[in-house]
Amino acid sequence: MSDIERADLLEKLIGFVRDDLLNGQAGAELTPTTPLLEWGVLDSIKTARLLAFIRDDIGVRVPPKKMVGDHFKDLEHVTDLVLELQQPVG
Amino acid sequence: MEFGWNTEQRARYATTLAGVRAAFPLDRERDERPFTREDWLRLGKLGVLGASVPERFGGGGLGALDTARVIEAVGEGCSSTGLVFAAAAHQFACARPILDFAEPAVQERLLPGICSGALIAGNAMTEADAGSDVSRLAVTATPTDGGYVLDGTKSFVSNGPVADVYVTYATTDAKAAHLGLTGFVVDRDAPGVVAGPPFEKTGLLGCPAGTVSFDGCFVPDSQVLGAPGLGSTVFQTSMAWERACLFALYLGVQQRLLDACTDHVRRRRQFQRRLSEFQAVSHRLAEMKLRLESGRLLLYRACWELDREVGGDDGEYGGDDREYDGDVRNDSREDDREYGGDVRDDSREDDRDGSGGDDRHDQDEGREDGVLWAALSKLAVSEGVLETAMDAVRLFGARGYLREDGIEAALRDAVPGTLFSGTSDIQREIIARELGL
Repeated sequence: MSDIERADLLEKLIGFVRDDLLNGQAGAELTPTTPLLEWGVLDSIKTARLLAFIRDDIGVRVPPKKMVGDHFKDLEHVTDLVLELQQPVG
Repeated sequence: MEFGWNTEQRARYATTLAGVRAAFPLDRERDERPFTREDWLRLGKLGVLGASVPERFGGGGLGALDTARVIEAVGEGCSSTGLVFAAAAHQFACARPILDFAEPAVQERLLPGICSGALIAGNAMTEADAGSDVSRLAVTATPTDGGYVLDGTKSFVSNGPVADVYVTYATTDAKAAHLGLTGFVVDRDAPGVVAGPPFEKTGLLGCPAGTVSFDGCFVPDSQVLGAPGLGSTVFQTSMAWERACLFALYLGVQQRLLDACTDHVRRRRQFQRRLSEFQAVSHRLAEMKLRLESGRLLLYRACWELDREVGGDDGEYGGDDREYDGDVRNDSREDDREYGGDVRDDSREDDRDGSGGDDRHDQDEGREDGVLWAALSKLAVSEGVLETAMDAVRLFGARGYLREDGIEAALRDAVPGTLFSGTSDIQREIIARELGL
């Protein structure tokens, strides 16, 4: 995936978190490196909603074994995870 | 769509029901005390404790649906619902996580004993401040040379006072919140493990429950479940089994109550008429039947969904297909207040490709429904048995209020079902979110 496509994906994820999970509040402070778990942006329910968005809107299913903190610490890492899972097997 | 059971399934239900009735004849005194090792070994011999565990570990090798039918038969045949609950929690909240996530050496060491009844397992999740929301556990696991050191107290552990082994969860990375939990297998005799005395409870008296504390308890790396940070997923997987299969025991209880009530209203006469001739009575029984069969359909559907998510040759968790359902909620205890819920916009379109046939069920679509069906099933069965038990008390009148007939015991045993494995309100929350609300 090109840098442009990666940037698009990141922007899409930021938009979802800002508009849907934060209801537009504190949107200006949300950056690709905002610590999502540490700051409570992602709790268990919001994590599930993010996963639903990734599945339904981006077409990537995150397997349970990937559900660890490192992959969700910020949106840069979430983007990397989605890109990794988009890679064709083999 | 096929609603019938095959010959093998019918025979298994009948054999299990007859076996459990023979092994546990009616004994009200037994029902009021915690189970014994002898009780446990009898359940092991009947194949109840490890029905869903592969045969190579001494289990029955059954899928979720067939396992649920075994549990349903035991629930119908054994009047000590607390004992049946203890056995189901042992299997679904302990054996399953060990099977699905433990290292092979741990599986080899523990699963045969868990299936035979030589070992008793307890699921230690609930804490004083972690009920419905268990995303931040006070029990910590600090990395050390070769493993972790556990510190803290679990406040409600079913089988806790008598268990030989615990499946427990601790915070290993506080910054990662709900994704910073790790699951562990802890031996009861490990230094630093202290099991408290049994609580005084309202129901499920056959199942002892108490606190379990870890005081500088060393647990080797080999006894981590899955991987560090995967605790939420491990727990959630066990809850999927618990919600789908454990509640089958309450279907058995409902069947037992319905049979007892039907017999009672046919025999008892008031105002020179059988009770069954009063429409107020017969309609109450009709509602009990409706509740039972509605719960059955939902529970079997939830199990069917779970079976589709489980991979492997003999019932082991495939690992990649189940959706993360977004919560860290509850263990097999009776009075917790867990929170949970998958959040998913269920806006997909139904079969608009025009195929319209019976064989058009889409695999991905089905997988997405697993959490919803489990929540619907858990809610229907747990609330259904509570209402049916209350109906049974009303139908039996004063006898229903006395301990002699065991009717009031069913009511006491039904209450915790609306609390553990995620409260009824949590299930409604999950369902609402599944609707995209």
